[in-house]
Amino acid sequence: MLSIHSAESTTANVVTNDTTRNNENVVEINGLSKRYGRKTVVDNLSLKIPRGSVYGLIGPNGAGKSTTLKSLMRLLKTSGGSMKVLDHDVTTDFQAVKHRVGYVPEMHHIYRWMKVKRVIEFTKSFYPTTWNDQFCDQMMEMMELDPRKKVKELSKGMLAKLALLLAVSHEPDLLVLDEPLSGLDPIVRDEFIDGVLKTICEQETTVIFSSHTIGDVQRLADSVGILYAGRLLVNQPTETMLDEARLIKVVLQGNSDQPILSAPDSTIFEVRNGREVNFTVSQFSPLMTEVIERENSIEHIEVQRVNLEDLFKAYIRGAKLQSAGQLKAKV
Amino acid sequence: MRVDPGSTVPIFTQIVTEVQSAIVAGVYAEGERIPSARDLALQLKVNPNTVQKAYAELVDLGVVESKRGIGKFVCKRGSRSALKQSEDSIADLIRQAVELGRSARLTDKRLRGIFAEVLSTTPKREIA
Repeated sequence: MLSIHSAESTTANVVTNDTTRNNENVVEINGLSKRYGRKTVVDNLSLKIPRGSVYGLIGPNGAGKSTTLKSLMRLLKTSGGSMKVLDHDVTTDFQAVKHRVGYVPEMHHIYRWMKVKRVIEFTKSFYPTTWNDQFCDQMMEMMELDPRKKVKELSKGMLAKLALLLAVSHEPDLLVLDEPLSGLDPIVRDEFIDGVLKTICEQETTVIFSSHTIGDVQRLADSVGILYAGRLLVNQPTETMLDEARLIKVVLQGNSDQPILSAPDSTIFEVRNGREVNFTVSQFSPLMTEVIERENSIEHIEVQRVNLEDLFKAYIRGAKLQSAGQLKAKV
Repeated sequence: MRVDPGSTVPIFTQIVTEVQSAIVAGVYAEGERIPSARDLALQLKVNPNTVQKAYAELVDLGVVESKRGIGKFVCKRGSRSALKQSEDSIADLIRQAVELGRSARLTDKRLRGIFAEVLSTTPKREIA
């Protein structure tokens, strides 16, 4: 393992070489929209990623995660909005920052007939000034990649790790990972995560990644965006999200003739099942239970913390109901 | 030390608690250096920014102190502060349990009974 000092000296080199390092946001997306014909895939999406932080984009399949990341990498023409990477407009000026970005797409396009060593040499030739051989070697060793193997002989996991190595060895300011962990076995996932963490630790890279595995997001992300049907339902620091959300479970008294228990502010999802009513709220305040107790005949009321997975499901279910034009769920 | 990404407790808070428990258990003695944020991040497989934030919190709590360029060290009375913190978090958890019990209309006597029962039936665990 490297000492802290070598990590610091690596960072120091980057600082002196790079004039725009002090910019607040590495990524700024404002009102991004992408339509295919009449179908809206990304709908007025805005987010900012401050330098050095890790942003996790979660959402079900087809929510628009990949489209958002591809648009950011200028691989798709957008239908509206603006995007900036390292203060350069993506639509008009992406060439200026392309070499400072690392991208691991969902599908890896690596020359199958080349040996790993040759692919690395080939990729390196595009980054003559910024490629870090030492870092590349360390990553290769850490992730147990064999340089003599041909790309076509690599397993899916090995290929994913190679794609990561190729995306980070030129010390990018921004690393974009599209579903990096999907379909990988648990051991490879850990090795891949180690690679990402090493990169973040040593290069202070800003990262945006998409995933539908909530645990990975909670481990890695400083901030989380939940995407559903092209819309960003929430965009918050991971801790704030968990600290402020609660599940309020209410059991109404049996003899009360079904009073209309109104949902507290910031309710993202509610389930009504006879006398039982559950609210998931994004910004809990103790006042909420006081109000519910005062205005209704309550048999039982209880407040629980929720984990990111429950919260994610609550957001998605809430959004589904809303788009179906319903307000209340019956289970 | 370990963290549970499926927990309702943010990773940040889990790290603060884990480091405090390790200090209380004597894994890191007073004056001893705790792992660098980077090493702990790699070990726990979490974002190093989160570990750094947790360490900053531990500095604020008077459990560890920063020595510039070298790392974080357990403060002189660090384990006492950590113990105090741990007791506070334990009290919070018990408070939640008591509130749950009260809302289920259990008597104080019954609550004490449950507590004593849990206490006597939970095996003691060595902290690694």
